[in-house]
Amino acid sequence: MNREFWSKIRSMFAGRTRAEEELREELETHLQLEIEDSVSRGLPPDEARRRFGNATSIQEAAVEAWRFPVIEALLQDLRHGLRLLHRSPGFTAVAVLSLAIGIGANTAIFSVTDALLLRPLPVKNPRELVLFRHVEPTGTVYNFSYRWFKRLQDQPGVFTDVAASWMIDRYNIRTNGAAGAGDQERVSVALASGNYFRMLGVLAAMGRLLSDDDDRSPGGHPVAVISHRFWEGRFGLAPDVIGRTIILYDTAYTILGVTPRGFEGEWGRPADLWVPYMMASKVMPELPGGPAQFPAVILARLQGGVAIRQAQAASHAVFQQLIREEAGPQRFPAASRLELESGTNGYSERRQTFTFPLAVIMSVVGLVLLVACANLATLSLARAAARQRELAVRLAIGATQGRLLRQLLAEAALLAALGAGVGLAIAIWMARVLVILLAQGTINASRIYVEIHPDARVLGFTAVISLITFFALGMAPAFRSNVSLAPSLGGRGASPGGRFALGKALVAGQVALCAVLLFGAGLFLRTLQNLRGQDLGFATDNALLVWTAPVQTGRTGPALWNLLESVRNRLAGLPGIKAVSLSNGGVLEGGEDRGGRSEQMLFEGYEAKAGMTLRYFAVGPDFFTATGLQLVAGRDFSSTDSDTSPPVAIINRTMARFFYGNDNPIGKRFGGRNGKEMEIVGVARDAKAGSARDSRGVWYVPYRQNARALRLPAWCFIVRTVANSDGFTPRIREEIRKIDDSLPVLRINTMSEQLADVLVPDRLLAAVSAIFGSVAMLVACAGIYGSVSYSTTRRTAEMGVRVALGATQSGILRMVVVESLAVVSTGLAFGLPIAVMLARIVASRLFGVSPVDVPTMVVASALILAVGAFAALLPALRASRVDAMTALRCE
Amino acid sequence: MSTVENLSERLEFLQGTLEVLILRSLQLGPNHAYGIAQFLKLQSNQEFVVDNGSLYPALQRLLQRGWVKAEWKTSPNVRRAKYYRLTSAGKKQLVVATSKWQRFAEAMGRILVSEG
Repeated sequence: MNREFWSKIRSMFAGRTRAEEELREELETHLQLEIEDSVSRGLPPDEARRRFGNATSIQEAAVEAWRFPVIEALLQDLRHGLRLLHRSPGFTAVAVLSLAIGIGANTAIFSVTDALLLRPLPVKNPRELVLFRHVEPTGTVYNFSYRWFKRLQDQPGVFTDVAASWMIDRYNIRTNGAAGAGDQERVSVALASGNYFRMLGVLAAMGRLLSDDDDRSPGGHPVAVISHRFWEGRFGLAPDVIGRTIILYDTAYTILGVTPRGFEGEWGRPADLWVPYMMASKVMPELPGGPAQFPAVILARLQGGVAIRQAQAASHAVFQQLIREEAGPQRFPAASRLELESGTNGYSERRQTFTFPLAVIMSVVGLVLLVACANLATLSLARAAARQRELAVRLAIGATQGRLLRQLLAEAALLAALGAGVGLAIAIWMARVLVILLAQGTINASRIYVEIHPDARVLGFTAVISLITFFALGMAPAFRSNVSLAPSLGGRGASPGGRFALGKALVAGQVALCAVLLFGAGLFLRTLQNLRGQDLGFATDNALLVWTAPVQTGRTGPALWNLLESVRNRLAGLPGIKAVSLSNGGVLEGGEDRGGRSEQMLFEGYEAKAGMTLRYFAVGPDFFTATGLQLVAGRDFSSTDSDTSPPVAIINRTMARFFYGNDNPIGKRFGGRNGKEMEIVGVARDAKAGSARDSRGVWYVPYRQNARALRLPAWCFIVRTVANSDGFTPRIREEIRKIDDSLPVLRINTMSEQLADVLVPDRLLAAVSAIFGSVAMLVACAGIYGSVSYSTTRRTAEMGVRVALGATQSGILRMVVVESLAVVSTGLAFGLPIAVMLARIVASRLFGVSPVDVPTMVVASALILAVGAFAALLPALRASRVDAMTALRCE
Repeated sequence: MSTVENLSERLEFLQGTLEVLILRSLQLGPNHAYGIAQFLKLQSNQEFVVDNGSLYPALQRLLQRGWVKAEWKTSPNVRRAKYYRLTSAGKKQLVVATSKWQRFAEAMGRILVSEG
């Protein structure tokens, strides 16, 4: 009956009160008529009233006709649930808070993970995109030369289109053609092939984007496309930005158009502008050779319906041919493979670093949510059991079991909804904090830019976990609501054994989860401590690291050397400075990763030997004095080691031992892959290079003897001061500015700040696991408290009997505490082995602690036991104070 | 053979007996609740004494279905009363229901009166 339905809906919005008043008036009139009729027949008015019936119930019945019975019942249940929650504010507060933290944390981490790892590029059909990579024995590399790209583009095969891009940071970019000092703000410039935007299916938000015609002749297309973010930041969304110019190294690039908001390239960090590949020599003057030599990341689109594996197999022959033709024995050993990888999320250099920590954090946070749910299930169970009587009474006066079940579920739904609501607020705040943390990247590599917008996936995720918690919460008491009437009304309630077991099991479960979290937190904290405290090999005090980007000045070759040398000399001449040197990486990171493998090196008079990966640094004179890295033999580099003097090198002790054993390496020669031979003039102590963790073979060369190093984007001056290095920063900046004001100073920090930067992932892990471990502990504490509370309340009569039979207060106290500790210990017994198992999985992240670290286990266990005892104390005290008479009478 | 088609309709049929009676009572003209109840009592020779707790909900249902319409009128003795009257849809429904009931009553009569 549709008509009825809609009438009812309409009446919900129309004036209910007016209708009720009218009804009242109608009934009043009716009654009057009845009375008149009665009187006219000689009967008393009361007779008429009686016949008329009860006005209130008539009104009720009439109003009933307008209601939706199901909705009404539901609303009633919800209201009832709200009242109940209102009556126990403690429980409600604990429940909502722990749920909110659990749900909020999970949502926050998920949204960050989604933005960082999972979110597909905002382009057409991102799932069809693939990235190229070549896999060599030393690792996987995504960089190709432009020439490779061209060859792949010529023979597309299974790909509908192949495009290339490369991103580089530039300084000294001027906008609006204004004369004056170069703007030292960093701009991320992307080189893009002509078909880049077309392949991605990106349309211009304004103007037009690059096309094939913009990418034909080298140096002949000074045009650029800017990103929406750049347009907003630099041009203030000026509508006349098309046609304006951007000046880099004296070339003026005309702005063709703006990309849509949200598109920032496929690299992990946002690109500010795109420039045709043919302009590469102008954008990167530090690179020798023509565009064919330039680096590229290659992206391609598969034909619809073709899977990556299929495409890989189909292209196998072509790839092999390419490797044979393009690769020389130096670059790509025969064992390398050309592979395809999903490009749905684009390419991010930093993604690899954060995948693991984020996965760990997600697990941690998931565990916390589990603990919260288990905790709440325990508390709900306790409450439900306490309401045994109430439920039994209601069953007796006619409520159906279904109705009761619905009510319990309504309560659980309310809690879950409240928890989710507060949780979302927490999630937003937490996500913001995480984003800020992640954006503090390290100097050489990209900062992680994550933009969190509340999107359907995140909200969907929140909804799903809220539902899960709802079921976890609601099921426990609902499950137990199959109450049998007689025993509940008459006496003690249903079998104590059964109920206890579930409650105890839940508490033990929470404790086990806490054990895992705390153990993990302990391991990560110790790792962090070890990383911080390790002997890095050089003196960390009284030194500053001054990062600059000399290539941004447009100089190349010897002019660049001269610049570096003049800066070094000027700084060394300042008062209070002991020594200044430079390095192509800092002391904690950078350095050419591709120092090669040990078997590629030839050592005069010695056999080639495999098994060690090497790294090299191009450094300046006095490097070892400036860094405080000790030389155990031989000499430091000096200014006499230049491009015209014999090639020399200094190796570290690990390398010396590996290749030369106990022989003295000084004076011996070895050759790198480019065939150049160097004489060893010194042996240095081992220092940590790359990250605070690794130690491998490292060799140092004077920068003037290493042409390749010139192309690197950043150089670090190591300034060692005589005394404290505070206060030197402004002076250093000033001196550098005096030498060349177009030389950007990227950053000046101390070595410990540098270390802190490198350790960001580890700090994140330690902080998150410690925080959440504590939160889990608190939640479990509340759970233990609730559970012990409930069980002692139920056993009040039993306590009374004990007291009557002579038990002392302290005796009862001890008994309750010991009992609860027994449950806690059971939880520990289960939790610790699981913790160790999980620790084995993350063992690669640990430093200086083993997954079976006993002290951490002991501390975690002690902490949990202490908290367990503390939580049980209050209810135990209450139980011990029970008065025998009251107890025995109360049931 | 049955006068009703399926189970739900059967239920509605039984519930709708009062509604049919109300519709019939309004066939002669608009009336208020008291008037309807009086009509039914008199016409059925005191057999059907309608309980107000059933009458009013039935009137509401009829309003929802759009078979009757209500309006306030000042009754003869200067008191405001709510008068119900049939709509055209209600008239149609009355015809349909009347024929169904007649068939039902005939069938009942035949069975109850027959020999054996």
